Amino acid sequence: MNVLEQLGIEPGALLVNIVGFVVLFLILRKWAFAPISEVLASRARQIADDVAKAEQARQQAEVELASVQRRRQQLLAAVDQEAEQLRRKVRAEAQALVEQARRAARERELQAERNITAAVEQARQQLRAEVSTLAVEFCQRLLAQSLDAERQQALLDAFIADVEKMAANAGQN
Amino acid sequence: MHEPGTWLNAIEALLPEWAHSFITVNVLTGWLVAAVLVLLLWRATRNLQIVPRSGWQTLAELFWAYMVSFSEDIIGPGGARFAPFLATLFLYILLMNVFGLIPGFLSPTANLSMTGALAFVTVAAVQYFGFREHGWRYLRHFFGEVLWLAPLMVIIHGIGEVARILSLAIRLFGNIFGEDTLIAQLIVISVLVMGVIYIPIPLQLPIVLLHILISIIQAFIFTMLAASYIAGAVEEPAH
Repeated sequence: MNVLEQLGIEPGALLVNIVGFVVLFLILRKWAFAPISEVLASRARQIADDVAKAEQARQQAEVELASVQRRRQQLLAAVDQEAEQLRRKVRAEAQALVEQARRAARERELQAERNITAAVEQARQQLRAEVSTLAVEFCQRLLAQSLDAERQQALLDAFIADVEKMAANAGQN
Repeated sequence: MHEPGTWLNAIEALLPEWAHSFITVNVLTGWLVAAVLVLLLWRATRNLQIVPRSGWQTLAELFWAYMVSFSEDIIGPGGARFAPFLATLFLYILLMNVFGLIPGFLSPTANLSMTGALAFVTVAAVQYFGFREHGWRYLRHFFGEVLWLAPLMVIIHGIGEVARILSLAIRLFGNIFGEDTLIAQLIVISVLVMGVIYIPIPLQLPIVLLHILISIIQAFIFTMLAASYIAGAVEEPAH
């Protein structure tokens, strides 16, 4: 005991120090280190959860992106199809219009031909009527006077001149 | 033994006579240090947040993360289980080492009653951890490989464990006691010098700075040795 005292070791104090350290350890373990450890573990869990959520969101975004791209492709295909149909329709309508215009032109052409034919026919009939009138008139004149050779020639020339004049008038109409 | 004068001598004087052999100034200083430590850690952990909002929490988390890493580095996988014990040892020894720098106080670790207690607790804890890890198989560690040499090996191992206690206790005590004594002597010399040249020269100042460094180093060495003893006790036997 004397040696211990000379070294400054007091057995009672040593025992109390042992108990004191054990108590301090138990207090710090329960109320200091355990909460810190728990907070660090919670943070690690939260970070892991957030990373997992971010990964999930990324995968979902990729799926949605693929879906949007598919939809875009479908829409582009539909637009192409629609444009093709419209082109065909326009082409068909243009062709129909051209055909219709051709028919109308043909119709007008036929109508003009019919009109010309009718006019010619009318001119002929008119000419025939006038020739008949002139022939009757010539006969009346011939019957009303005695004719010598010179007089007959003059009448004939006048008659032919009248006929030519009427033909010229009919051609101008 | 003569007790040096500190602020706590008055409290000791109030204690009954029978308590003087248990509760000394050194013990009271140890309790005060423990109370300060509990207070500091209570301040750091009273309102823990997932996202730290205070520097105290950040500091506590950094220290704790370091201790966990330190334990796993030295003890191996699963070493984090022993981090609370090692962290308590480190903080308590560090704070006791530097407590002697406060005027009117002594470093409790400059006393063999304190360092002996810490060393005994450490070695006892190492045996407890060994038993907890391996059960009764842990005793084979003391008997050695050769059966007929077992009595001798038990004695040798027993001496080894006592040597560990002495080694831990005396190393810490010697360093801190030496530093404290040197600072005290330099203060006395400073006073004597001032009596001659009438100029106060703090001769002890470089040693005070050195004492802070030594305090950290000694706390770390004690903790590291404790960790290596635990590693030896909990590791799987090679055979």
